[in-house]
This record gives sequence, structure tokens and C-alpha cells, in this order.
Amino acid sequence: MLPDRALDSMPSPAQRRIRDVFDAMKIATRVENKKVLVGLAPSVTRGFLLKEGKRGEPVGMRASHDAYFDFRYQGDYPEMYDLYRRAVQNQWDGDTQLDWATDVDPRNPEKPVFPIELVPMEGLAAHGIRLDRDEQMRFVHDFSCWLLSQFMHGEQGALYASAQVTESVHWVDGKFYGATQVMDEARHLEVFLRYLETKLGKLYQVNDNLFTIMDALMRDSRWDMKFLGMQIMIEGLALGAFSMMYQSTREPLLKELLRYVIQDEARHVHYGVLALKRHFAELSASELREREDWTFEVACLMRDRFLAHEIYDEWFAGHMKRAAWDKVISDSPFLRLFRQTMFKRLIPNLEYIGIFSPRIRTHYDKVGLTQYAGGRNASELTAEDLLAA
Amino acid sequence: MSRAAAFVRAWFSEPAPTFELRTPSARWGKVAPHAVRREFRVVEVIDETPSTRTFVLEPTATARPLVYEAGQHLTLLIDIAGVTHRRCYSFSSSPAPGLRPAITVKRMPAGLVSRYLHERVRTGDTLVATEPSGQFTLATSRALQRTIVFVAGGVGITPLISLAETLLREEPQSRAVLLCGNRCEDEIIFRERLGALEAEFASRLVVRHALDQPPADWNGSTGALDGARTLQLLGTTDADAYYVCGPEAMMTDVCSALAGAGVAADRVRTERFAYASITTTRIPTHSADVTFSASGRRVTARPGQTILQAGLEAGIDLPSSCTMGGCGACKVRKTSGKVVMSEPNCLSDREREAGYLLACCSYADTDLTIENH
Repeated sequence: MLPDRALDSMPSPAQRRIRDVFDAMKIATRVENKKVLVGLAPSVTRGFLLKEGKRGEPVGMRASHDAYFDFRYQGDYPEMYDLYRRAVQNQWDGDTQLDWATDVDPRNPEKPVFPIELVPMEGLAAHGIRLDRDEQMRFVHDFSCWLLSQFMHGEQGALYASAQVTESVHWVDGKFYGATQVMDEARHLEVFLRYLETKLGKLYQVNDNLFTIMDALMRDSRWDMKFLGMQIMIEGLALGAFSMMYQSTREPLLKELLRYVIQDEARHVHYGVLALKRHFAELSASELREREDWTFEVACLMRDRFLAHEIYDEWFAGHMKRAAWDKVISDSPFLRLFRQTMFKRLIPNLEYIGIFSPRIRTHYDKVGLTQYAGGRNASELTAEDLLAA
Repeated sequence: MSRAAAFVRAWFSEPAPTFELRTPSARWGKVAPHAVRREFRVVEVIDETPSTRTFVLEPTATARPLVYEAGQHLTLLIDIAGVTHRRCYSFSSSPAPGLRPAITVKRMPAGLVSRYLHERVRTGDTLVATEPSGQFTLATSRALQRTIVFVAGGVGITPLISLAETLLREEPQSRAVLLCGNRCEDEIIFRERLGALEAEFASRLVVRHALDQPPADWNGSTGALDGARTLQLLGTTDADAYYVCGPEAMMTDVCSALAGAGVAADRVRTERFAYASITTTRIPTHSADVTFSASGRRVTARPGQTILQAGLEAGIDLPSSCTMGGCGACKVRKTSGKVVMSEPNCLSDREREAGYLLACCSYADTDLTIENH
């Protein structure tokens, strides 16, 4: 690690690039499982070093899985078929069932998109940064745009990943269900994009951590890794994030949008839990170990995503060190609550599908996430439970 | 530029911003009219009668120009104690150029919103409403020469005076006949305005009043404005169209009398201000569970409680407007179970066959599931 003084003497573009290299190296040195490291390395390179998600141009992610055709149409899985029927009956229309005529003023303190109390004003002030009222409201607006943009990028990833999952899953009932999830994700992408464009007017680029995760699971040829990455990790953590936003926001259109999305997401995570519980019971110890380790790394990437470096670059680069920002945002009441809500849903699911051994538990202990072990998993939760999270 | 060169260059040049400002894509199109909300400032309050008040409105400074047709209504969204109530009020003003938009509200003894409007809303206050809507309209053309009859019972005059004045102003060769029925002289709404219109359009406007309880010096018609009195006051039934609005019983009787006098049904238009009459043989006398599919929530509809009432009471956000089967805003689809629906209402045969119902005038006959919007 270069001393701060040496780093400070470089031009700011170079400083950023060096930090990106350090971020990538930090991930590489953290990953203990060599197979996981080899698998993630290309995605980390593309995400953190080459910044493929931030070039402002489309990105191709080459798929390497098989589309699984079963011309006997066997592969009964009644619980998945039940999820499929429920999905068919609960399709909603993002155009007519959300009140897009609602006036949304992101700077209205009476109906905030994002509560101002959750922004780390005190942490910033400790570093000599004081925002006046107008700046605070602008910051809340930008943070709201950033957060919703990341959800939106995740939905694009979920759209393609669910299509891949539909192709590669072996159960016919799983394919029926998968097709409904593809429609769900398109609808989620539609409503988040519409909300950002028509109400907030600002889109942020995809966060490097999120890009890396999506790149990794899209390129993996194994169907269960796609399930694990998308259904359990991304969808599962998103569900927690959406629940928190739903509880926090006082903007009625966003609240209603999140309510609909959460109801769909509950099905998605349930689907992943059903599929993987059965499949993981048949894997060898080393295969399970790889999945445990991979999942842990993805959990760390998901946690680091919420350091919101895109916000730092826009607002505070040059005014405070990024390491200081990381500490401020990590210690903020918002992120603490966020982590609580996200991992409250994730850990029970990992336990249920069988990739939360005592060995990997110590890793989660170190990052303070095991307090949620023993909770209800996705197959035991209803949409109402999630809305009341 | 090669990827390697771009990579090196990135070390020495400021990166592009991590965000972009966006304008809405054309794909989002227009918002459905019934969902659009707008604000109005009350610029004048006029007491028409002891129980009827006109609120003259002006769109707020940043709002789009108000466009409405005579005969349409505004759905007000009134927040009372944290609950949003929707009520429709017809424009009593004509949309002709230069005239200010206005709604006229009768204070109902048990009316939560009408009482709120009368007791709380003053000049300068702001009201929130959806875009104007309604099909009780009249397409005008300067080239037309016709006679249209407007039969008004009580506050039913509000859309009819708008229609009549619009007809007179926009069709210089057409005539309007306006029959107004009220209980007593004090309750005649817009009396001065009608007098002014008679003066302005002397040869083209005929106004006749009927009172249940006239004063001693009354020289108008005496008695309720029912079907028989309507035919008596008209003298002939050769008008090009008839617009009727008032209490349910009055409208039924007037329409029946016109039909009996040979007026074809397609020449008669009606607008309801009251709940649709229940022509079914029974309203369910038992409770039933209603499941709303969007949320998965199940509520119990009590005997006599409509699906809309049951849902709103349980805090489910169900769109509605007229609450009397006339506008379709509360249209939902039943996926299982049986309902009893009041008639008449605005659902088409095709919609009924497809399983649609109007939540505001439907009662759960068995447990059922609703696809709510």
C-alpha cells in the first residue's frame, strides 16, 4: 500500500486508478478458496480495473451454459408449479397500477424519497464538511438517485439471469416459473427506469461491485451458480434493501412501486431456495465448500457496493479521503440499518439450502452478519412479512 | 483507440461523471386521464341557496390549462383526518372562452365531503382533483340548428346549466329548453344566472320552474317535476335530444314518460348523482371474504357493504370516482366467486362476460378473489 503522501502527490485521475487497483487486490487477497479466486478474477478485472460498467457503452457478457431441453416434459416439482400459478395470477401492470401522475419533489422534506436523518451529516462534519440545508436536500436527492439506479441495474442483471436460469434449469415446472420471473424483472426494470427518468431525472452508473457480481454469474456455465448468485444473493439482498426503502420512504409513488416489487421478489427468492435446497443435497463436500466461499465473497461485494463510491467521487473527492468516506458511510445509521435488513433475509436462506457450515460461519462472524442466523427463510415468509420487515 | 491505450490514457485524464441527467423517454407516453392530479385555487365562493355553494376555481400557476367539456365532472381528492376521499362534482360553468370554471356542491346532511367543503373551504384555499372526466357531454357545431331539452331535478341542474349555456353560446341557431324542479323557491339554484341567460338569449332559451311547495304568489308550475309534468311543460316531444339529471326516482319517471310519448331511447341522456337502484331481488345478507390479488389481502365484506367499501375500510387503495356505477373507475375483474351487482351501471355486456364488475356497486355473494387495480 502506498503511503497517503505519495498518493496525494499524484494527479487525481491516477489516484483513483491506484485505489481501483487496491480495491481489486483487496478482494484477491481476501479470497481464500483458489477455485473461487480463479473464477472471480476475470470479473474483478473487468469490473474494477477495466471499469467496463462505467464506459458509457453496452457491455457484452458471453454466456457459456447449456439451454436444457427436455422433450419428455418431465421433471415435476409441484411447489415450483404452485409458484408459477401464483406468478401468473399476480402479474401487475406498471403503467396503469402505479399513479405516475403523482407529483414527486425529491427536495420536499415532508414527503422524502429518502429520509434525511439516515444521511451521515455528523460523520461528514467530523471531517470538516458541513452541508447547508439546500446542500443536504441535494445530497438526499443524489443519494436517492444513486440507490435507485443500483436497484435498476440489478434488475437488468436479474432480467438476463432469470432468462438464463429458465434455459438451464432441469425441471419443467422450474422453466414455467422462470418465464414468469423474466416478465417480473422486465417490469421491475421498467418501473425503476421510469421513476428515475420521470421523477428524479438522474441516473448513476453501475457500481463496480455490482457489475463484478453480475459479470461473474452471467458467465458461469453452472445453472446452480446462476441461481445462487441471482436468486439468493442479488435478489435476496435486494429484497432486504427494498423492504428497508419501503419502510423508510414517505414518497407515496415509490412506496407503492416498492410494494409491488417486493411481492414479486418474495416469489423469486422462494424459487431459488426451493431449487437449491434439493440440488445442494446432492453435491459433494468440495462442491458445497466452493459454493459457500463464493457466496461469502459475493456477500462482501454486496456489502461494499453500499459504500457508494460514485457519490463520493461526485461530492467529496478532493475534500476528504476515500478511506475516511468509507468509514463515515459504513458507520452511518442508514448503512447499519441497511445491513441488518439485508442480511436478516440472506443468512436464514443460506442456512436452509445448506451452505452455512460452522466453517464459513466464522467468516460471517468477522463481518458481523451471523446475528441473523436461525431466522425464517424464504419458503416460510409471506409478502406481508416482507412489507413489515 | 485500443483498449490498452484507453487504459493508459485513463490514468491521466479525469473520468467521465458517474451519473447523467435524464429527460423522460417518449416510451412513457401520456398518463391515463383519471390518474392525473392537479391543484386548483378557490378564487370565489358563492352561496347559491342556503344549502348549495359554488366554488369558482383557477388552476394553480404552474398547472396546465384546464380543458373540460360541458357536462363533465371533477373528482376532488379531499384529505380528511388522514384519509383521502374522492367525490365527483359536475362543472356548473360553461367551458366557453372567458368563463371561469366552477363546481357547485349541495351540502348533504350526512355527506362527509360536502359538509367539509361547505364548512372548511374558503377563498384562497387549494383543492386537489383529477382531470375532468365523464361522458355526459354534448358535441357542438356552429352549423347545427336544433332544440335540446334539459330536465333538472334539484342539484341535477349543475351539469345541465353548463350544457345549456354552452349550447346557446356555441350554436347560434340552436334552442334550449330548461325545466327545473325544486322543493321550494329558496332551493332554486342559479336563479339569477338563469335570468341573465334568459335576457341574453331571449328567443332561444326557455326556462320553466316547478315547485313542490310554491309560495302564494308563485306563477310557475306547482308539483314535483315528474314524467307527467315534464310532458305537460314541454307540450311536444319533438326535441332533438333530452338531457335528464336529478334524483333517481325522478329520472326514472321522466325517462319512462318520454319513452311512452315515443321519444327514442338514443335521444335521451341521463347522469346519475345517486347510487344505482338495486334491481336485483336480494342483497346478500351474509358476510363473505374478498381477496384482493395485488396485495394478497383478504377482507370480510359485511352484509350490505360493497366491495369498494370493504376494501377501503381495510385500507386497500382502490381507485374510484363516482361511487355509483356510472364512470367505471372502480372496475375490477373477478377471478373466482360470485357477486351481486346493482343495476343499472356502465359496464358493457362484453366487460361482464369477461368477468369485470364495478366494486362500488357490487356485493360479495360468496368468497371471491378480485384482480384489483
